[in-house]
Amino acid sequence: MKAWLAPVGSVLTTWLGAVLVTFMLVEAAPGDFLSEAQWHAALAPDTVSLLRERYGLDQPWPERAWRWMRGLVSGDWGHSLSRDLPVWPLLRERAMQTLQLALVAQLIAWSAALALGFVALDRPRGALAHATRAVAVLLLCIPEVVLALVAVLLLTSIDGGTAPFWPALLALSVATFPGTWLQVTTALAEAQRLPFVEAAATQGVRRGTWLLGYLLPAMAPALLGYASVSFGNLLGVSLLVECVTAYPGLGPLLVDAVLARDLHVVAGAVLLSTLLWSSGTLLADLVQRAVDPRQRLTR
Amino acid sequence: MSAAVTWRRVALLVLVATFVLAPALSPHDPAEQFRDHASRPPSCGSPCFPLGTDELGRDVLSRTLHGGQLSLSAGVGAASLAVLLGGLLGALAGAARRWLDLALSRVVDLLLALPWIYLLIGVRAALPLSVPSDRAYLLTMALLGVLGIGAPFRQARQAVRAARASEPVHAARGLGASERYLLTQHLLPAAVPGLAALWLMLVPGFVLAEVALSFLGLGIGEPAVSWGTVLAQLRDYPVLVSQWWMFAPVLALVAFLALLPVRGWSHDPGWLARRARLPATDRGTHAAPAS
Repeated sequence: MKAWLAPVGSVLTTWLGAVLVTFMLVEAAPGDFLSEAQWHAALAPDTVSLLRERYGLDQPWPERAWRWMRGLVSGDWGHSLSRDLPVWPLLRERAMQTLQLALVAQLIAWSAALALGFVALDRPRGALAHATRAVAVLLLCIPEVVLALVAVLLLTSIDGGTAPFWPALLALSVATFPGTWLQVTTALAEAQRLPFVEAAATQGVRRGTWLLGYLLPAMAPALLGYASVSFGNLLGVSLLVECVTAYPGLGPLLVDAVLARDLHVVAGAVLLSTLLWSSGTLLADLVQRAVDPRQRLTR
Repeated sequence: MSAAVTWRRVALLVLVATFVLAPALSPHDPAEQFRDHASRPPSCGSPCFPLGTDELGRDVLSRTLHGGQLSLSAGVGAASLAVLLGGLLGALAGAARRWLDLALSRVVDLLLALPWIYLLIGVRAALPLSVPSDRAYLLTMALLGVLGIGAPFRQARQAVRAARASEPVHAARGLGASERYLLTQHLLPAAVPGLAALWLMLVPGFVLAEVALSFLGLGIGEPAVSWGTVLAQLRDYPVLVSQWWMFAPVLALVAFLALLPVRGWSHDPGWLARRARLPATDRGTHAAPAS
């Protein structure tokens, strides 16, 4: 039981740390977060004094920190000055868009990496393996923003009125493919050498059964470990891709908020991205423990 | 060393030298505007624009060369700062008493647990946005360096802890060596090979991070020229669909990254562990924090 509590405790500590970091971000800006209020036409005049009172801006910092934490728990993530809207509904809507994009892109990248890995299994030094490696290494050298620009260029030349989702999906899938493929090939090579996998192959187990029943489960712990670590990177790449393709996710919201000095939105986006990443890591960690008994013994 | 490796190293040196010598090699001043030749595709008439011009008539080749100088120096500077700061703190944590080690490690754990690019942009929001180009350059470099201390910290801490448990250190301690002697003669030198290898791994990530920040308008801005500011012009849709030569910095960036041993032609996940002389069980636990 204790073994299951450790990752949960670690994630809760990360959340607490992230709450403090975001509070410091809001506090570190010159003045307070309402200093820029005069520049935001969307903000009603009465709102400024109400916000000042609600967030205790005339109170000492421990009181402000307490109100910030209490607000987060009760769903009050601050107020967007540039939109004159509460931050949480705005963030929730954008985060759903980002998650949708990221999960579909991950599905495509993982499917392509696994399919190419399995196809090239018998000939690791064949033409397909070499060509995939060359493409993966080339893609590793191309900035994500450039991949997104090319995706926009490509898809708008085919269909001028394409929705931003498709170029964003294409760019994000292509950007995350190289890392995924490298991990899959490494995991494949290691899993193939495991005694029970080798034994099943030599005993004439059917190919499909061997791949899905022996090889894939043997690769699962390593791949789940990578999936949990790479989720944070995926959020970062998604941010850049979203900004280029004008996809309405967390990325453009954060960058627009920085340029408009909308500090509650900035802090909220940083906090929510941390919650998403650490939740993804926790989920992968728990699944990894469930599928791999060694994890329960060695940690 | 094979001939291919030698040639790639030579090519990398030539490429870096080209960017370092950008002021001497550029055909034009990167800020000079040839208004009569705006948005011109590559051509060599009079004046000659081998990689064309942008919307303001500025020479793209000169901007790519100068941009390379700034982007690479920002990446190298940020990686150096991260390795120096993270390495020192990591060595301190590895050599110090338990409470200091615990405190420093928890702070770095938190730094690594936050999505890097979100944190980078979030911290950027707390700093002044409208700053002169030279200050924006230093600000970007410092921001990348300070927020990138996680991997060097863990690398140095692990190396120092491993060295503390080694026989030479036990022997030196038994012979009466002071803590300061142990730190300077045994523990810090043990961290150096790993940090040097990590530095090389961090540079490409920081170059890409600078490009991304400047592309988004949050890093180095005009009138300074970086690869990010040149590429940022492609965010304008008419430029993207009609001026393909504005992708020129991408070729330079890809060439640079492809020639590096850690990202391009010989991408090898075990490279850092071997360079750092880590035991086999520790391999694969070191990830660069970059983009």
